[in-house]
Amino acid sequence: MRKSARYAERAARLSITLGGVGTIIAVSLIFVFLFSVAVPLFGSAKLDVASVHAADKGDEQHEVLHGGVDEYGRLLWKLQDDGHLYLTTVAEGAEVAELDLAGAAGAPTAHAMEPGTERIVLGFGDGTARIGEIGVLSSLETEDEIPAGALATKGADGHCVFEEAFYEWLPTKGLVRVSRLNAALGEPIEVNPGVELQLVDRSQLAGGEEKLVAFSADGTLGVYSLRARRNLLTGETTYKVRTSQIPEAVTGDDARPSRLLLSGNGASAYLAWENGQVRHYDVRDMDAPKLIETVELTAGRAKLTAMDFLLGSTTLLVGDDHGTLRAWFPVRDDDGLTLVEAHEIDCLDDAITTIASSGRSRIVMVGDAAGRVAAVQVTTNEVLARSDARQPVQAAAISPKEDLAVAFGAQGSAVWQLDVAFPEATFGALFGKVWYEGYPEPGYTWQSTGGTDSFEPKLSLMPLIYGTLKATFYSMLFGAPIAILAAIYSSEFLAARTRASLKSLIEIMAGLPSVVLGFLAALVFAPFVQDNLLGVLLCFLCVPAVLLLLGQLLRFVPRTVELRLQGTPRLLIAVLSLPLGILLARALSAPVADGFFGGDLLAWLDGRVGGAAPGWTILLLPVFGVGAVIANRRFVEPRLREASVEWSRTRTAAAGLGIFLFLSLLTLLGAWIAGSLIAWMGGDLRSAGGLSPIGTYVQRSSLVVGFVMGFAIIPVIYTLSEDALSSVPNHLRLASFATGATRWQTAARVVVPTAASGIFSALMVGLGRAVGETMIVLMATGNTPVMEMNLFNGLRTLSANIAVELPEAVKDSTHYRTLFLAALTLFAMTFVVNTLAESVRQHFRKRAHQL
Amino acid sequence: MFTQNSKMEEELTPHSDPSGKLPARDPGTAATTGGTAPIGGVFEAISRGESFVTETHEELAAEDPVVGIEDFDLHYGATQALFGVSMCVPRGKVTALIGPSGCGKSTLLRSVNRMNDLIDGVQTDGKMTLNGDSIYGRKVDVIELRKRIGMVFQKPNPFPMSIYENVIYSLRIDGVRDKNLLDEVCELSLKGAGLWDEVKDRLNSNALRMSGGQQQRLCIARAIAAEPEVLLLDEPCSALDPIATGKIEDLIDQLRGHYSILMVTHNMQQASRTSDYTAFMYLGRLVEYGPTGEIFMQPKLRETEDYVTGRFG
Ligand SMILES: Nc1ncnc2c1ncn2[C@@H]1O[C@H](COP(=O)(O)OP(=O)(O)O)[C@@H](O)[C@H]1O
Ligand SMILES: [Mg+2]
Repeated sequence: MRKSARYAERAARLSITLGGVGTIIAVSLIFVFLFSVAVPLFGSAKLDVASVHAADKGDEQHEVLHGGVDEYGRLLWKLQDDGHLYLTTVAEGAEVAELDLAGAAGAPTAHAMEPGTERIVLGFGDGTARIGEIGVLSSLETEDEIPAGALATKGADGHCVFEEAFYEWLPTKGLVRVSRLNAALGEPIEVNPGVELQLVDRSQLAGGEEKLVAFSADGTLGVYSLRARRNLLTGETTYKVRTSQIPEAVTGDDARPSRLLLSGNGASAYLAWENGQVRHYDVRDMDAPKLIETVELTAGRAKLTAMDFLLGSTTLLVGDDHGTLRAWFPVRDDDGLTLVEAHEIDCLDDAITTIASSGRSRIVMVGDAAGRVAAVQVTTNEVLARSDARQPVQAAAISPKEDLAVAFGAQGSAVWQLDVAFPEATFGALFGKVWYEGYPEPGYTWQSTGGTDSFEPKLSLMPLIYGTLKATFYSMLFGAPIAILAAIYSSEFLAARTRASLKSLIEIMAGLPSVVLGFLAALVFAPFVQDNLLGVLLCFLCVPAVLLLLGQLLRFVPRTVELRLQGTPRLLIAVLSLPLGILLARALSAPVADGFFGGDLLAWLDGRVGGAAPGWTILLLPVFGVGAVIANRRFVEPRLREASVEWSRTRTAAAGLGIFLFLSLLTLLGAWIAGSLIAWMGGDLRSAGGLSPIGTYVQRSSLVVGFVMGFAIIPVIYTLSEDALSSVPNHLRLASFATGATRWQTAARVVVPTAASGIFSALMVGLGRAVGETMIVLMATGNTPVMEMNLFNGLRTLSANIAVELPEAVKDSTHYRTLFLAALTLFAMTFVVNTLAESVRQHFRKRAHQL
Repeated sequence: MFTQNSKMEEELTPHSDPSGKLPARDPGTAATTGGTAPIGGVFEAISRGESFVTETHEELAAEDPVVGIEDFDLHYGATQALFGVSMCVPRGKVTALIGPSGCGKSTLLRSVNRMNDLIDGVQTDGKMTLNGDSIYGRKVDVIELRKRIGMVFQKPNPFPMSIYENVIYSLRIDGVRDKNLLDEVCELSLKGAGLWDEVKDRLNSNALRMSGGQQQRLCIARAIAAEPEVLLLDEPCSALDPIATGKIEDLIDQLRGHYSILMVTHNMQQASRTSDYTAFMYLGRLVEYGPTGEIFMQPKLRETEDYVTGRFG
């Protein structure tokens, strides 16, 4: 028997130890896992210098205009200024194909390529332009489909060049990838007949429309809209051209412009000079292109040596002769579009000669006259890597998969292995302000997915952290006071029996699954609140007011009756204030709406009707309320007590009621006057944004979240604080009562301070719950990642964001890892909160021993 | 039904059998109460539920009562804990309540400042006055009443706050904000409780860091800070070691004259050392009440003598 007891004890100890250690290990493993997925985000990019090699021989006579790499990183193409196009292998620099692109038209006099696409436009001396494509076309074929000659020339390394095609044997047996140059120019388009085109650019707009801008030798700037028409019989494509010209945009005496770009949406054309000046034309309206502004793109006397678009053809990248890269994009302001300089990156030391945008992200390859190259992430202002091409760089390219970088020069092409890591997710981008394209200023933005290829993920965690804290704040604001007051009330004022049943009732509340709460919030509560917003808000005022009023009225009741009402009946009377308050709020909502909010609160919140004063009044009401309570306790109450010694009960009660009503009125009046004063001085909370708690209303608002999540955290805060309060030794209460303290005084001065650490830890546990809560915020908010304290708009929390986006994030992508980082952040937040709660509770436990 | 009624009546009828079988006692003092003890001794009479009249010594008639108790009954729900207690607490004197445990000493003490109101199901009957003002009257504000009475409990129960805040607690709840007044009251009360020299340098340190004896004296300081009209001490030394007990007893001695003290004690020596008057209680009745010397040396009832000499209890 004794032996078995010893065994049982040992087994119990072992299992408890195992359980404890296991829990610690499990939590640590979760942490390590989250960490290991998130941490590569902060790895740095590499241009692998070791792998740099010359891929072809180069051509001293002719300059490279454009170049590119095929999808698989096997082939390079380059277009020279004589109109010749070469395709070579990356590995050996062997020539695969050569093509005289322009043919009889001769060397192009102007050229442009749309970043991230294969679309090109060339301009010629005869005033024509030709649009076309340059790329590499690959197809998969089986071994018996390819020519025998190719099979015969297959090299040891599994590929060969045969008849202008590149064959690569794939690991899957018998499968060969065949890649060929795919380049063609369309028919000449008469742009400015007979006058040499000096600058040209094109954009493909939605609906198949092509837009062209061209600057001709006679100083004409033309805008051309082309609609392709395909002849069904011949298969030939002809263009219907609409022309709009600004003749003598540049007169003979002016310096010649050196760059011309047309934005991807066809709205803006930029004509730039070497001195850094750019003219920004609005070319949306084909019939009336107009000059919007003239801007200095380079600082000081720096020369503009390169200008091209970033992916998406909206942001202008400008390189100067000091090696500085600047990014400009138009933002909408009061008078239309204005160019702003969003980024300035000191990436190289010599004159920038070429800027080549990647086709999948905001990374560009920049080369300079001294032969240096740099890979730059434009949005985060970061130079990812630098290297040396050992010759002036004429053109550059980044492969479609961002695994190769190429610099073209007179001595041939240099190729690097590129490892960009996760350039969008720098520490600065995740937690700092970033100026994204098209935004009027730098900001915190979360927008992980978008519709277009050129969409840039915006991965600031700040809106999510903000949303988490906002949801927590409002739910604590609503739930914590109710929970704590309820705990104080039940531990200090209720009989043990009533307390026990109340406690079990509240614990049932805790058992409600949060998805049910979220469901109710989204489908029942949110629409209800929207329809009765003012009434709901007035409840916050009316229910406490009615409760206090009932308290005052109860003093009229004869003492003998009052004694009989002690306990449960009193509680029931207190509970009665809830329906009465709601009824009062309902009754008041129409007159209040008419009197203060122009008849419609939602419109008022939107700033469409009414003045600013009510907003300030609402904000100031609690301040004045607290002021009134303090004034009452300091000055009125002692005097009243002194005076009322001789008075009858009814008279004392009447005086109390009078003072209560008077002070309430005074509070409202004071807040109104102060609010009107501030409004008169010109502040309006509705349009303030930022920390202003009011603003435009949306149905899934923080108010709903505050309510419902507040409701969800009440049980945990209530239970834990009630425990803390009940564990305050009774002899302290007795000591206080014996001194003549009332129950409230005893609660406020002895019990609550003694249990303060326990209550604090209860709050922290509630806070932890609110921070991590997912379902309610997911369902009850609009999940809009905005950073405003506005009680009436939505929010997006870390937890809801993870729940929404993780299923659709591509594994190991930046987005995926960022979501893990969000999880890690959430974990850290709840960990800090819970640790704080626990350490306070430990401290409390130590102190409780002394009592 | 009928028989039951008559039985109850019999029980409720006061027993007025004149005594002849009581032990010899001083005939001079017996006259004050017209003491009539039932046959078979007071204890048997009490345990039979019979009523009797407290043996109150005549010296008490000359005293000025601070608290007057007349025919006071108290029920804890269905069980009666005090039976027709009548006594007065003389002004400026120390009065000790002795008796075996469970006899209702604490209950009686708590009745004076109506701490029993806090217990569910307590019902009282009879009259009690504090300096002539009714304690259980209908219009009495308990809060105001308790402010006039100081109380010290068996176990030291300082609040978990600073020594200073503990002492001036009663003033704080009265809303006194005058810092000078608070400082003055704190110093006077601590001096009054003989604690000033020990703690004057650490008034802001937590009271829980003091020793048990110091804590109990702090509780006394807290009680006298409110200038109470009567001070109730419920076995103030029972949780303390002998040295601390000695200090408290010295303190009680010093408070004599300034305060009217009603003290419950379990310890006969303590009662005889510190009190001016002693009241002996038994099973909810006040059995004998007189000057401490007489109660201990020449009690009028043999039962009192048995108790104080330790023959039972
Ligand atoms: N809170 C209470 N509820 C019910 N009965 C009580 C309570 N307190 C004391 N009693 C009873 O009243 C009687 C007197 O108790 P008490 O005054 O504490 O005795 P003493 O202090 O003399 O030891 C005892 O029988 C005790 O059981
Ligand atoms: Mg006792």
